[in-house]
Amino acid sequence: MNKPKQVERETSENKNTGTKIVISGALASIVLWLIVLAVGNPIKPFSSSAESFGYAFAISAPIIILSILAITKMNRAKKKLT
Amino acid sequence: MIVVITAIIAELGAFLIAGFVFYGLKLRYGLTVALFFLLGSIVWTTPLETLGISTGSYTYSAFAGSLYAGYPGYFVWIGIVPLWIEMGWFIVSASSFMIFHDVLLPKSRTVAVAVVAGLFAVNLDLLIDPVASSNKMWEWLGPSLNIIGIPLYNYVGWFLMIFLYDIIIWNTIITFKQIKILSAIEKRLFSIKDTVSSVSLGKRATGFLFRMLVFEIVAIFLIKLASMVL
Repeated sequence: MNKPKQVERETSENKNTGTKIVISGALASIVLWLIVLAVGNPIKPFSSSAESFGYAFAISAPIIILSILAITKMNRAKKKLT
Repeated sequence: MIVVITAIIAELGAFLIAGFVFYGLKLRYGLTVALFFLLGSIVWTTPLETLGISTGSYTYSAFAGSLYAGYPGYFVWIGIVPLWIEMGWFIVSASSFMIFHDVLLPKSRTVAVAVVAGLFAVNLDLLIDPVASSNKMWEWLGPSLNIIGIPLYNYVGWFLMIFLYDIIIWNTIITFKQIKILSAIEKRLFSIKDTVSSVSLGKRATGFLFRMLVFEIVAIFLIKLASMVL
């Protein structure tokens, strides 16, 4: 592989990594709030932690699915290129 | 005491995640765009948050004095708003922006992508707000229609703020395009014409501030209207 192509590929990989890190920010936020929920009080008006976690996971599902879908799509595109 | 610990976890966690997100933005778009995105998030959300606190919609002061004498409730503040709140906005706006503009909907119209990004943010806040307010990280004051104790107009606010910021960032920072409804004023004030391939940093920053100012006024008006109706 010649040098300009290698530089181009490294730049592209850096950009991909950057996008994945930012997308992971949404997932990291979910983890952070689940930790807060685990350490702190249950969500009002739920009476127990189990109900609160049930709500938290159910409401987070679309975000988790979309984030994973985005990362998977990027990985597939990268595989096609290589 | 246990509740104060959750506040500290949330504050430090938000700074940590915001740092990672900033690094990711820098890798993807470069330092200038990352800085615009981060500083823009602070400039964009602080007036609205300040207004919300000043008008008595909510407060961030539940933990004041709980850790030590003179503890204001959180460690870092911008005026009367804890900085980690702006970092939260930054994380949500950046991740929703990247997921849809960069990966899932790269060929769709800007407005359509911004709508989806706004809905994504509302979805994330349906987790954040109930957990935070149940742990007194902020407290909603006054009666209103609500979902799990969170006023409906809060979600209107989340949608509008992320939707509009997404449009501003895409048309001003990632590319530099005319925003149709502002074109007449911008042509006169900054000589901004259609799409420009290269634009000076000064003009970009001025355009960014001008667009944020105009859209902020629109957002505050609509959110206030929603809070009166709902």
